[in-house]
Amino acid sequence: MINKKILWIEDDAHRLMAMFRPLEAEGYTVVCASDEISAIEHLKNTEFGLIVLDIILPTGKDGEDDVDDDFDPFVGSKLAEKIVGDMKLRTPILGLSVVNDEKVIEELRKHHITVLPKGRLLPSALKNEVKKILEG
Amino acid sequence: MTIKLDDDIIIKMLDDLCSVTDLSFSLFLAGHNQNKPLYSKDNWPEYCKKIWDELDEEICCGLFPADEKLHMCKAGLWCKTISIKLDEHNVGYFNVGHRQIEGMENDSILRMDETLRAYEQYSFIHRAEYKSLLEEVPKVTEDHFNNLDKILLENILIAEHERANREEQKLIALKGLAVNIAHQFLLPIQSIVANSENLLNEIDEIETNSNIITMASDILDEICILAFTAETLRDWMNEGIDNTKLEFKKQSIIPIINYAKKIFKSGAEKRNIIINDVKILNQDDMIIRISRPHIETVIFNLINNAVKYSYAGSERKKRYIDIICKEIIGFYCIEITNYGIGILPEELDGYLIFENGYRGKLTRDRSRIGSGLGLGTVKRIVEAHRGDITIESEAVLPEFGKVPYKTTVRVYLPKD
Repeated sequence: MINKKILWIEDDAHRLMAMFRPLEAEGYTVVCASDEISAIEHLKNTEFGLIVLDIILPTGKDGEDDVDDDFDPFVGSKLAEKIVGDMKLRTPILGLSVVNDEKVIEELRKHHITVLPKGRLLPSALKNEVKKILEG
Repeated sequence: MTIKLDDDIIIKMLDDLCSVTDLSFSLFLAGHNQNKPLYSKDNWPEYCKKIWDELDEEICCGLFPADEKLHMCKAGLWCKTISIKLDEHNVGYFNVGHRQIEGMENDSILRMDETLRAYEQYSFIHRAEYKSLLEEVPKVTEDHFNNLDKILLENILIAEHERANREEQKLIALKGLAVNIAHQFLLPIQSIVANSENLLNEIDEIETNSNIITMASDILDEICILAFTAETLRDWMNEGIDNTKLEFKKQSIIPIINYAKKIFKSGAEKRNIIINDVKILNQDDMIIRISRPHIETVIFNLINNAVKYSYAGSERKKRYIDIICKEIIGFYCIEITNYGIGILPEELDGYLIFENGYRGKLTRDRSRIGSGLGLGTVKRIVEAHRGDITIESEAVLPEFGKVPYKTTVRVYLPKD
């Protein structure tokens, strides 16, 4: 039985929901997390079939004191390491980002995460990629 | 520490120094081949240039200690080496002189003869030619060398270094800004792309008016082209493409070509340009290891160029773009041919057309907007795949009326 629940970690999800429309039409549900903290909360509480991850994300921390001095804009990349390393989740992860920094993408690839380029990605292509991961 | 300099400015500076001092200057920089002057042989005497080009470069200069004393080189001329320091680090040295000294002309000839004897076995070395050129080298007194101001030379270089540094910082900031803007474009573009495709697919189920469906299809194609333009800008700003960092996957390149063709087809047809169906001459699916987003950029750029630089056709006479895929000894070749504005031989021979920011001379009319970013990016990507790109462009027969150029771009990607 395929778990058709997708966690989409994306702070601009409200502008990009159309990306998942064909998948939703096929019974997939998409839960959105707009920052790192809420993503981790979702992952602790729910079992997802797939995580779709943006690379540039807010951390979700409040207040100046909680913001790291050496701010890394690629919060999504660090989050992927936490999901795979600290949380030891085996949920497949798919990147979806405008970032094409080769170093960042290579780091993600070490965790078997492919990054699809955000920009001209067709919803039909995203659907195919998701189905390939979940349905083989 | 490496000194940053602008080649054109430094060459001009060396030429000016030459005029002011009556001495020739060359500049060697640390971190580069110590025996090759990075800057200008232009102000050297012809004698020195001939020795440099025909004999051994080491004869000329580069081997003196930087002791600021006069030394006679193996060619028989006098030079002084002045080291340059930046923040206490040696960053290079000037070699100044390339002159005879009055009253010591015979010593120069003797040294020249001594050196030429090592080259006696080469028939193309003619002593008389060298002697004649040596005699043309200006003669100066030792005072010329004593008047050289080391501090002035150093300060000129430091000022240029600081200027080049500031320019570099500005460029880095500008590139960062351009990448940010490209990213900001891509988010709304992605939203429109997604909505457009959904609209097209869903309208197709309920709408029978073909004009409405065509409009939806056009919106999707145009927004995809816009996305690709923003991506090209971003990739260009990011410059170097390191092939060890690309994610190569085995896949067929045919869907990529067909997809790009589909996106540009409608826009082309509005100018009566027909992109013919892709002809695949080999019998397989052309599956090779590629980085898909990068190869998409290559194919998009090339088909975009083919459309953009084709002459418009008419209802009666269409223009055509051919895309042919074939196998050539270990490579798959994608060949794209169009008829229209061409590329001049000098632009192809000197690889000018692949330089970032360069726009072909024949393309610079107002009706064709271009950034000059495309082919440089394409070449870097193809080379990162260990492939190659070639371009042929020649005017076809004048009976076509307005003479178009037939331009064929071939991209070779290795099968293994």
